[in-house]
Amino acid sequence: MSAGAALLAMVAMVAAACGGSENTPTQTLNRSGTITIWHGYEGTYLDTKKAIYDAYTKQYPNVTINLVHKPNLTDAVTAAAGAGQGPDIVAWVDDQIGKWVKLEAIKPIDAYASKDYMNSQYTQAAVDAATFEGKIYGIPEAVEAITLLYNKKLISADQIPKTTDDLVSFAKSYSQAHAGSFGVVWNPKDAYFQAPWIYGSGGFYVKSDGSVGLNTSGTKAGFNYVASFKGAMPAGVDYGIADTLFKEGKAAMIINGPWSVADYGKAGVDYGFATLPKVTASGKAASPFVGVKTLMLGAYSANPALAADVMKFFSNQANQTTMVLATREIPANKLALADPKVQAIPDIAGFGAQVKNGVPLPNTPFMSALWDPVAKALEAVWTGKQSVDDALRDAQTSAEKNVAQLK
Amino acid sequence: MYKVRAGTTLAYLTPMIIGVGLISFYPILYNVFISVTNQNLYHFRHYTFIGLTNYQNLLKTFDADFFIVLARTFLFVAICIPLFLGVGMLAALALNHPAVRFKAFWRVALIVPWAVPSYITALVWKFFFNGEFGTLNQLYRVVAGPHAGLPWLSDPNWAFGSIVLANLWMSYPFFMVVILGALQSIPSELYEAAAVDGANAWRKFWAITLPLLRPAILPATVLSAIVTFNTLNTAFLITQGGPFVSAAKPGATEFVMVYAFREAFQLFNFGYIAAFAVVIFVMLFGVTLGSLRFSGLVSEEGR
Repeated sequence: MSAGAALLAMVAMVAAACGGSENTPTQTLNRSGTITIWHGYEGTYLDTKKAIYDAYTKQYPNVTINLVHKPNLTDAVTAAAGAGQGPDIVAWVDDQIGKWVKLEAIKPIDAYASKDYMNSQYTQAAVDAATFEGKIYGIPEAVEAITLLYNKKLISADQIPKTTDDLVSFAKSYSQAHAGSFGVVWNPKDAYFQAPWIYGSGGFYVKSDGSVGLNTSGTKAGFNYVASFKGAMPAGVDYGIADTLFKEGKAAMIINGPWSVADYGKAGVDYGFATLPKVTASGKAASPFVGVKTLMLGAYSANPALAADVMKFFSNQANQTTMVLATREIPANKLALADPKVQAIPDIAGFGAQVKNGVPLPNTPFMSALWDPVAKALEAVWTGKQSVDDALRDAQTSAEKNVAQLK
Repeated sequence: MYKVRAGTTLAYLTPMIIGVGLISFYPILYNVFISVTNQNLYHFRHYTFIGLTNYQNLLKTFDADFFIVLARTFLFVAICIPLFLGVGMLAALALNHPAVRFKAFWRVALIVPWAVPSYITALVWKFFFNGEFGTLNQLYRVVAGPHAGLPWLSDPNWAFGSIVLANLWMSYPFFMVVILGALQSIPSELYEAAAVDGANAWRKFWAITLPLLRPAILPATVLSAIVTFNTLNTAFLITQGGPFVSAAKPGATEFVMVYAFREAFQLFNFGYIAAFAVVIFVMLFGVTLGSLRFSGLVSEEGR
């Protein structure tokens, strides 16, 4: 038998095997085998989440779960997909879903988790995040968005600005009154961190059909707002500098996400939660991107039914409640979110209030064409190299060119 | 003459052929293969042969952007190489001078930048250059007042210079080692004879040292020029190719490889970028062959 014929025979056998199993999904689930999970969990997150997987393997001793920490997870998943390999489950944020579907790194989970099941368990935003082109690609775990944090030693809750105009005037007067300190800081050169102002002003980056919204009046208004903070933040401010200033008590407020607060606690900052202010011109709330950490089904999983069972176990009400009480994440499971014990956690109440005003982090693959041009335009505006109009005109051209290459 | 059967020769060569084949030729051929397919985000596993379409698209988009990037990369090489050579030569001459004591210590100390992994060096320099908190500006403030600061990474021209500086730090030890080795192989009789003839140190350097160093310096220069042309780590880690003055223009330190990296791994246009790599490869290969022939090394070896 030639190698080619052998290969054909193997392909036929695999195809037959697949065809057979897909007709009989969850009823006859045999809970045995090995599930490999690629993740980026660290510290408390890892310990808490590992405990849930341990509980599963204790209940079903024939199942082994390998938790593999991947430092460059998105690159690793892409590279593995190119070689026709990958884990059973990828634990990451939903913004990669569109890209990974196109790269054939993940596959739909609809056969094991119906729309009804999803809607009965998870918040609407979380279900939407796990859905791409009408199919469900994973089970949501936790929700995250950036919000306004303040240092209780420096300002009181009633001093927190309620509108964007108030925020900029507060920032300017604060840095004048306290030399070397700042009223509010964040990274003004990154697309993710400017979403609240741009989407709150009626602008947008890209839609799922690939239309680019940089050269729109809403996006321009958002950019102008960011530029109005020149002089009220350090000229070279970036994520790390903003973070350090808040930790050292040299910034009264910071815009940052749930991942940052544990470090602020350790640095001895007595922080409180506020919501981002209302955009004065549009009257709408500032709308940050809402990302959903999701357990996605790997395209090369040999045991998708078991993988789906592990995911559903991980994200059920009881386990999500235990998990977020330790990690202080906002659960995607709405039954866990409704739990009074969960609602009593200030972090969850604080970020949860902000999530309500948010917009979904786009999971279209076209978004990967936008991060770079938007960041460059923000840099050009922040450093004064270009006007907002010129910067956004150039960014629109560049983003449209990138999107066309992806089509 | 002693005769060896062809089969025996082949058997001895096989491990080497397999090694070179796997490490050098397979990736190159695979890259050439990808360059004639439509592999991209939408055709990642199931790509098809599309002939020279990627090359045609490349020619179409050989627009202002690409030429700016290319010209800037050549300028970067043209500035870097003489600096590497000059600093490496000075360090080697100093180390070779009889008056210098603790030679072993100095030799190790000067080679250290070369031994440290380049991404660590790049991140250290990134911190040095930081406008607000960086070491260089903190030192500068001691002399220039508390609110002063040099735009190490924020001004396009300064950023270009900063990358040259970081790259010089990482690369001069290579030249130093090469030149030091060559210096030590120059017979001292030549200098003694020159001294008898009344030559001063300067004359000895031009008439003896430099001509005898040439065979060592030239291949090192060509090698280093190629490595410098392909700079990715230093520029990407320190500036990400920036500073950017517009989204539609390449950044001030966006050299060829940084540009290619952004195109390939942000837009996933693998077929297109493979074609790009083939074109760059042909260009570099041509330049290398040309410079070796020009220097006379190839024809000498061929004789």
